[in-house]
Amino acid sequence: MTQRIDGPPGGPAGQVNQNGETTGQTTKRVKTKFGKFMDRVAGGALSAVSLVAPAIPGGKLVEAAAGGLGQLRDRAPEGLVSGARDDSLQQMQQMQESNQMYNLQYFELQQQAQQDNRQFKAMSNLMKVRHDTAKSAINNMRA
Amino acid sequence: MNKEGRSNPEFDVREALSRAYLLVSWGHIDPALELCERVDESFEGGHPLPQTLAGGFLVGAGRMREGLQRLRATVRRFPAAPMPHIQFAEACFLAGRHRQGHRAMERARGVLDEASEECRLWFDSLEAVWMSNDPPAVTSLPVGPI
Repeated sequence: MTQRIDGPPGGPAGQVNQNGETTGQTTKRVKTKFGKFMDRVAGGALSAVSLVAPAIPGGKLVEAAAGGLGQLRDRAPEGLVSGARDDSLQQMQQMQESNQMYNLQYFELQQQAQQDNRQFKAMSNLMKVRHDTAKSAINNMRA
Repeated sequence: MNKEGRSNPEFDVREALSRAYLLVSWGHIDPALELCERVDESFEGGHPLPQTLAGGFLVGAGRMREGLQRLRATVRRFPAAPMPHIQFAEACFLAGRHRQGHRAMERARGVLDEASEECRLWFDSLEAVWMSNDPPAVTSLPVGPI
């Protein structure tokens, strides 16, 4: 049985199950559990093949292959192991959020620079016009 | 006054004021003010330009109080001349006295028909810069009571 609750202001609403977990938390837990299970299954299968390999014809080759696969599994980067996938997604989301923030800051900076540029041009024009006025007034001066 | 100036006073005052302008651009404010005074004397205080320029030089050099005083006196002496009004308005804006500057601009507008084309452009430019919704963030120089 699930019960609907309101999320944080401005955030999405979540659902809570009997264990007090939200839907997202449950999904993550199930995924992690499944990943660990599959990891154990793969590990067991590879060990079994390694054990049985000497007893079958051409077993040396099979044993070497199983050993190689086992080593590959052990050395797999964190991102390829099922438990670390969620962390990577989270990191990617954080990076996207940072990127959006930097873009916004850059946009604001551009706006400010444009504003400064407009003011500088206006002041520069004002100074030029004042100079022209003084020059013209001096040239047109009559005793 | 030099020899040439005595024979042709019109040329002399122009040259003196041009030199004053040049001196100010090199940062020599006091010799420039002296030249303005001499030109003013030669006109016996009957022309607004020397004192208007002197006021502008003072304001440009950061001597706001002196500049405002001189410009205010010139405005009172020549109420029909547009240039002192505009220069005074600009000095007020630079000193952070926006209300006073607006009043000076209104007075300048009243005598703008007599103004030269350059003077009108100056007025328009000043109006566009200082009377807009977004005036420049020029730091107001501290000016005491006048």
